[in-house]
Amino acid sequence: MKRYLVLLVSFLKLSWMVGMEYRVNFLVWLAVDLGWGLADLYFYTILFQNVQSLGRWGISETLVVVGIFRVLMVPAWGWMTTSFEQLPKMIHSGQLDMLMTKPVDSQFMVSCNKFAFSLLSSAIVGPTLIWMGLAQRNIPISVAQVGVFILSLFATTFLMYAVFFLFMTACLFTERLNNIVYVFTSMFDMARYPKDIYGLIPQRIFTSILPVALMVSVPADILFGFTSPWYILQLLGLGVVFFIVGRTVWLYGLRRYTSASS
Amino acid sequence: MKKFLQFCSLHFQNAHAFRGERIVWIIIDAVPAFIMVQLWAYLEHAGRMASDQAARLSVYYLLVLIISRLTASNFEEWLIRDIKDGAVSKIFVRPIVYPVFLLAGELMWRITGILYILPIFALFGLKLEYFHVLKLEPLTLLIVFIALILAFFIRFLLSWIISLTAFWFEEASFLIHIKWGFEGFLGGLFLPITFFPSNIQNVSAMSPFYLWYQVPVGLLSGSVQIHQIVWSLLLGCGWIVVLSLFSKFMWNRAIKKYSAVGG
Repeated sequence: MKRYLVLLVSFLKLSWMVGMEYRVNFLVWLAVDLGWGLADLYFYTILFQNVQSLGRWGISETLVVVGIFRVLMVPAWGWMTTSFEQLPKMIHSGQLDMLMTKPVDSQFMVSCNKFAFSLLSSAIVGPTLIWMGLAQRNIPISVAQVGVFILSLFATTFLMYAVFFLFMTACLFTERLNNIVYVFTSMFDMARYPKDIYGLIPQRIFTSILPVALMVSVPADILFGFTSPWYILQLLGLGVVFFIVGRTVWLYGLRRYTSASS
Repeated sequence: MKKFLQFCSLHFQNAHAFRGERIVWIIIDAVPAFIMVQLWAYLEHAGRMASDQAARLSVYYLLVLIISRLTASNFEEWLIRDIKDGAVSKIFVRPIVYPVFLLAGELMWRITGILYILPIFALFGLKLEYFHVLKLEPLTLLIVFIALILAFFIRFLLSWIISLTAFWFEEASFLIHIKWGFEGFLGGLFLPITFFPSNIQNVSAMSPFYLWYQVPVGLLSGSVQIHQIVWSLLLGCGWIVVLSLFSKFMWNRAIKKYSAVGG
């Protein structure tokens, strides 16, 4: 365990150094991320000028939801996408065998090898939007609610990782699938809307088979008091199931993986 | 011309080599449109949107998806990387005009992409009566076809210019995001431009992004008449001329500036 923590810290340090290599570029990416946060905000402002509410969410609830979405963008893009996007190229070019020869778990290596710190804007914009939404809503939130909410964010991040990794394992079974990394991030956009907007069948699919619709709505509903905190267990349970399936598929895929050379 | 056709033939074969990736691109593009179609259907069901408006908005996103697949250029990301890594050295020693080679590639990818779009209709669950909003008259279709060709060239040239900036900047990929942002707001990819305040609508009408979705979708859904978009088509031609000249200027400078070791 200690070895993995040391490795993780080393990868984080290395990613920071790579990010700082071109400082202007880093600052520009911070601005781009900030721009996407503001674009999100503007999109909903325009939308709410035309519709009064979305499901149970009014404009203040939606501000909180967009804030949570931005916060979750940090692990989704800053960690998972950045690390996973190397995987299809490694498989296609045969470089994966080099990674498999290392005395470290291969899933850890493909999952935590690179981080993008330019997503830090979202780590500031997200909580700011949450705070603005809660202030506009004018309903006091207890410390316990905040604690449970933070726990739910961790549970969501675990579920996101498990689902995302399962998506990525598809690369082991195809010749080239460089864009698979964007499927999860594209589907993650669904999480920005209340699950009520989806029809019956999509709702069933996106809350159980592919639970992207829960990833933002459950933490948000916990914070608003719309949902019982026990729903965290649902997120964790789903996360464990997806993690086990992803791990099994990964190991099975590795057994049938062949490479000409690297 | 013969060389161009040979490029097309080569890219036509390449376009079918990785079918899995093509299908994945369709899924990635279809998800945002799917969400919006679900949203309008929900608002209609909840009685907060008229059926006709929901139909128009749903068909809007479906058309945007199709147009996006038919006209988009997405080569900037890898070309920027190739320029940065020096992998473009090989194109300078070949007897080809590189932009023409790229153009043939993009053209073939768009044409073959039509095959992959068709199954997506079934997945949308769009009500068939929604399609009554479409105006499929021959003249309208002809103008839409012209608008799509203009949109394709504008998008290609913008992508080409963004890629060329990599000859001067160490990291130019942030420009792709800026383009997406403009496409989303001024082009109407996120929301139809009529949702926005009039000053943004005016800026959009003058921008190269207006022709990408607003003109073809407006014509097909009957929300604009042919005589109203003559100015937009002319402006589109103007943008092509300006972007062509600018890209030619950049390309000439770039090939003189470029240097690489090894390769």
